[in-house]
Order: sequence, then structure tokens, then C-alpha cells
Amino acid sequence: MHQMALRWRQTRPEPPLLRRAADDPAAFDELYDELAQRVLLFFTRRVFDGQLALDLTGETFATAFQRRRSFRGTTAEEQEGWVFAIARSQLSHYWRRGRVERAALQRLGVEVPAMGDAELERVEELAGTAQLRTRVAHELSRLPADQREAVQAHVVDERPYSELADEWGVSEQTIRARVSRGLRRLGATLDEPVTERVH
Amino acid sequence: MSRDPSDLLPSLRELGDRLGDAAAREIATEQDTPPRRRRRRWHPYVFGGIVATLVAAGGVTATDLFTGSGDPVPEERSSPSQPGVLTDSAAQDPAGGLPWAVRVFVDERGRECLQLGRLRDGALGTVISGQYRRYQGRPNGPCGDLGETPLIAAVEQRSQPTARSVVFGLSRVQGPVTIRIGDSVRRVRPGALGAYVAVYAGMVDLTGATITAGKRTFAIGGSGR
Repeated sequence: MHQMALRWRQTRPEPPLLRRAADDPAAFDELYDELAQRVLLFFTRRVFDGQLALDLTGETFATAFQRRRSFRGTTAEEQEGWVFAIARSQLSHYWRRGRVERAALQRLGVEVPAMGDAELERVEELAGTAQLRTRVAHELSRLPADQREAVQAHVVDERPYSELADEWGVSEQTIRARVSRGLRRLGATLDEPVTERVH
Repeated sequence: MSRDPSDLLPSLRELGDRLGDAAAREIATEQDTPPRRRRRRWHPYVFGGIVATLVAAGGVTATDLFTGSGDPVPEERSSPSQPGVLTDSAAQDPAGGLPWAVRVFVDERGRECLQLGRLRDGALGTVISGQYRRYQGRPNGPCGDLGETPLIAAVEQRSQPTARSVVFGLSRVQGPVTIRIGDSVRRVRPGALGAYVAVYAGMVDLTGATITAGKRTFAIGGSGR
């Protein structure tokens, strides 16, 4: 009787690129190729400026490289989440300080290239910022009046809380709360996907 | 006609190159070894105009590729970890070694995209310093819309480590694709799903080059006629 031998071949998944990037520059290249555009669009949708988004993208990946040995995840999803956590942290820093942190880029001696006009236009197109602007404007108009006015005055017109508190006769804390609630609602809008039909 | 992401990629890619170089330097310093980084990226934007006008609709961009030789040609026909690899598109490298092939995937905009690479065990990858590395993560590569054009074509050229020019794409026209570059005329029969790949040694001069599918000819540097 003819017998056929079956052999199981056990395979183990490769470790995430970030883990391999500890001592393999090619793995870092791959990680960049995989995530860079999404990170760029993530920023573009939040700062509405392609060059600024590229700066933030550079600092995000420079930081990811420098902290790569602290990544403890084992899956691509965890790796992605880790990189985007750094991106969100960079964004938060930008919102707080009004400037892009460049410490990691400077440590690596990397200068972010300048985008041309066509690229800037393309980035905004890909990020759907035109649609997003319309949606944000629409959502802003739907906010309760006190939140809308607070967001408009503090975020758009960049007026300090203390000045608004004096003018409106309420505490700074009250205005902060209105801005916070308004931004949270607008933030939910920003996280919705923008779909684009290509004809 | 839709614009292609290649419009935005130069700065992003340049940033990636700079970061990658810096990472290689850092790692080499940590390991007390000389940097082993190579110019890993194609420079598709030298040929950006060519590539962008090569197709009638749905522009294309280029992906990272490496040439190399010396590895055995695989027998496997599929890879569960890399869906979309079209092994019947495989083309031999002029120096032998691993053949070139494409992987088809659909981008977030619903367009057909192609990743070009060296085929081994039914999966695509690159050859770096004589070592094969399977592509990891999401595929990337040129995209086009076969709903708008009968042919998607891309040209990638790399000067090192071994100069190669690779013409590849997708055709939904019955019959072979004819590639004319200078005095060279190649008829390439696409695979079952329309993918084709042609590999040339060196950095060929693409001036006047054309690709013909059925009755339509697409000129490099010009539009279809």
C-alpha cells in the first residue's frame, strides 16, 4: 500500500518591523514606507498644512526610531498603534506650544525637505482637507452658541483665555470648558473618514 | 483623469531617505561597524514625467526595488502571506537569479496597483547585498484605473547595485503587449490577469519608447494615440 508522509512545517511570524529596526536599518525603511503616507495624511487632516504635516511626520519617525527599543508589541497592529501614539503626542505638543518639536530630527541630523506647491496641493487633495474644511465649518455652525463663540475666539482668532474672560464676564475655566467641549465635538468630525470617488 | 499619489511622494520619499540614512548611521555607530546603508530607493521622479504620461489614465508611481542574482528560481506558485502575487507574470532577470514579477492589490481609492519585486517561494521581495528579503507590510506601488484606460504601465530604473530598467503593468486588452525601446521590440504576453513584466539590462534610453496594447499605443513622454 502506498503511503504518503505528511510533514507539518511550523512557521513563526516575523517580529514587527520596529523590533527588527533595533539593529536593521532596512526594517526601519520598511516601516517608514508602510506608514509614512498615512501619518502624513493624519497630520494634514488636523493641521491643514502639508509642510507642517511633513515636519510632524519627520519628527514622529525620528522619535519612533530613537524609541524603537522601548516598543514591546508583537504584532503589526501594535506597531501601528505605537507609531500613531507618537504622532498624536507630536500633535498635542504642537497644539500646546504652537510649534513643531524637532528634537529627534536634530539628534539624527535630519532636515525635513520642502514641499513644492504641487505637492502641497496634492497632499491636501489626498487628505480631503477641502471637504474637511466644509465639514468642520458645518459642524462649527452646529455647536451650541457658547461653544462656537469660544472656539472661534480662542482657536481661530487666537485670543487668550484671560482676555475672553474679562470681556465676557465669566471665568477662564468656563471658557476653557466651552472650548474643550467644542473641540471634542469637532474632533469627532475630523476622525470620520473622507471618501473620494475617482472618476 | 485622476491624479496619482506620485504627485506628493517626492518630499515624503526624500524625508524617508534622509531618515533611513541617519538610522543606518546610528545603528552602525551603535554596532561599531561601518554604515551598510545603500541608496535603496529608486529615483522615479527623474522619470516622473515619463511615468505619469505613460498611461492614458490613472497615473503611476514607482516602488522600491532591488536587483540581484544568484538565488534559485522558485517552483512555488502561491503564497498565503502575499495574496495577489501573479507568478505567471514572472520575467527572467538578464543576469539570471530570481525572476521579476508583480503583485496586484487595490488601493483605498479602488484603483488597481502593482508592486514589483523579485519572486521567490511565490512571494515578492528584494535582494539586498546578495540576501533576499521578502516584502513586509502593506504593498505599495504604482496605481491606475483599468476602468478608465486599457493599459497601466510603469517604468522603473535603478542604477545600482545592478542597472536595470523594468517595464511592467496591467493590460485588459486581449493579446500581447509590444514594448519598443530604441531598436528593441519585445512582445510580452500578459498573464491570466493581464500583468506583464519586461526587464532590461542597464539604464535604457526611453526616448521614443512606446507600449502597444491592441490597437492603442502609448508613448513614453506622450499620450496614447
